[in-house]
Amino acid sequence: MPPDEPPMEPNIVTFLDDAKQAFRRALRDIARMATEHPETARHIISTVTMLLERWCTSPTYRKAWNFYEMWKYRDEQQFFEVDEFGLDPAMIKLVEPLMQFLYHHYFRVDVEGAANMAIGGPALLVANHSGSIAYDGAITNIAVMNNHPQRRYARYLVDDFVYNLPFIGTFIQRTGGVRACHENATKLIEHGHMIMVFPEGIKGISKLYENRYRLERFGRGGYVRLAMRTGVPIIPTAIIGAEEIHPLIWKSVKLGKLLGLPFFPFTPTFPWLGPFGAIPLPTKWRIIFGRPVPFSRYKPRDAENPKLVGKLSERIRGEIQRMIDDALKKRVSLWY
Amino acid sequence: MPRRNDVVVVTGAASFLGSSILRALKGLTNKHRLIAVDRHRPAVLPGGIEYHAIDLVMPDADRQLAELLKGCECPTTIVHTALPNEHVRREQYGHRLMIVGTRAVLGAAKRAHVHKLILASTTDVYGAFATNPQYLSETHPLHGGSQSDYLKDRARVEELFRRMERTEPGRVVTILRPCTIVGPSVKNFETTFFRQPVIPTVLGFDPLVQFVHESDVLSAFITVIERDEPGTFNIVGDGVMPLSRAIHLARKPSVPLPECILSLAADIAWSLDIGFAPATHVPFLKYSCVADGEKSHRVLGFEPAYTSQEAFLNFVERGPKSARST
Repeated sequence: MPPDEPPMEPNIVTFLDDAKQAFRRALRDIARMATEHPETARHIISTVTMLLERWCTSPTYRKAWNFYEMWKYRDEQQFFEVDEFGLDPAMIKLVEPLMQFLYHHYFRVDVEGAANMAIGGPALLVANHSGSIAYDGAITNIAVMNNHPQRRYARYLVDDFVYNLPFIGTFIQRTGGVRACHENATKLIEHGHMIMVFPEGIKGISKLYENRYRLERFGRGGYVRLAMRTGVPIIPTAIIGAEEIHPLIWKSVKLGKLLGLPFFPFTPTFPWLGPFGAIPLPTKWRIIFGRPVPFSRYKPRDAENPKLVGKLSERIRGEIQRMIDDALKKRVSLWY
Repeated sequence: MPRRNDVVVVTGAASFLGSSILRALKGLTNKHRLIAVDRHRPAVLPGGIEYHAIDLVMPDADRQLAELLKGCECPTTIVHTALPNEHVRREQYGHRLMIVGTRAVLGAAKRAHVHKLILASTTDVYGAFATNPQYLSETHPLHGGSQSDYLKDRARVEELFRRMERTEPGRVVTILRPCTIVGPSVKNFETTFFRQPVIPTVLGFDPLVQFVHESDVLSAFITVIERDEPGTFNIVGDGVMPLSRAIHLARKPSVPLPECILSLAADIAWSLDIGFAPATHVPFLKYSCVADGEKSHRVLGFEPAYTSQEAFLNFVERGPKSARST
């Protein structure tokens, strides 16, 4: 049931829209003035650039910048050395303590079936997707890292819209996210990585609270085609507990479009409590790795067979739904 | 194997690529007869290279070229580097040089039964989008044209060469796409970008960039001149780095600006002739455009002597004084 509040949406939407139009008009006016008076504009710009250059090459600025660089790049060899997909080990080291805290003490993750996941060579982890922010991806990654004998790191495939956002796109790439497309996934498997996919995609994270744990359709089966073409096994994974960290009571697509997001979430705590409302609830998580489904007996030309792809996709979806239902029955409480 | 008395015609001989190719060929072997074609005489022209002043934009350029080519009775190779390597201020001239000039070269080649055509393109034609795969292979469609007219013309030049290959099956058409060329002597707008005292970037974005050393690009061109290798190849150095690391290696402070302000400033500066790239190039500061060099390794045997990082460090250390921090 949507909450009994006065409709806030039209006012916020029109206000932001007006602000955007006014800003654009101001920029256009500046550009017009500059082209109408080129000599003045040139004079202003060259003066400003000269002052900027003088300041930026002055000893004080350079000293300040050197201090900042020395603090930031303390461990020079490690910083900024990215692998071929943009993963920065120093960035991982930076966020790992927080993620381990979330894993051990906040969400208190229990892992079942770790032996199923601990195979050598490339593999495809297929999981259900939930929570408005993709904590489940990061926490499953930590689960793989902690429970795999070789301490492997699973690369996760991210939807397109993330890379258009300013800071989040870079952060996701530096911590191992790769844009979800066939070429990237094939190349990752060629390099022997383990990949994590969430076939539900946006539909998965935009589920309202009342629809929790009911799996949406698994896309067009692209992950099955990928497995058929490359012959890697699929490990179905069920993540319990991620649905309730941000119980979504309502979502606004219009507002989200304004901000470049697929939708704007409304939960009992967000956006009323501001940034504190974005803190996830400390539910207890269980991650269950199912038995790997081998795909080595399929040939690449089987990927052109939509019936076979659909059948296998439904089978894997059914398997994950079954694992979820079994775990929910065994669950005593949300919190422990 | 290089045939005896092969003729190599290099258009755009006064540009960096054209003149370097001529010098390298002259130093390598005396078997080729080398012809330099350009509007201006190259600054350094080793002895034994004929120079013909032909302006490709003029209407009778293809007639002049055809006469020149008919004079040689041996299999001929044309290396077409007469293309602007950066956004041109006089857009009309740049557009005509690319489209009309290329048509003149291809028309003359058809009439004179030229054996091999080599084009110097660039990986920028793929375009920088958030939706690019991590590594762009040669089969990826070219979308750079939707970002700026300059890239649209570059893509059109490639299209003209490919159409030539389709309609005239007996010839060898090779298209080489080098990524950003850096080195001690090359000067293009990317090296100028890294030589500024302060480098503007887009707030919140840090794309991956790759570089190739000028000597590796030269050796790739020499390989396709000596051997017959039809097709399109990306010529890139191994490895990628974030733009912030490149700026850090260049020891320059960077100024992150929000995208709208940077685009506006770039456009104003460009229209006032102060800037060196219009705002249509800002997507390259936001999103990656990284090409896959696997085909050139496999087919051409191209082994770059410098990785991306080494090439860039070579540029930083050996470039002119203004590149290093004082």
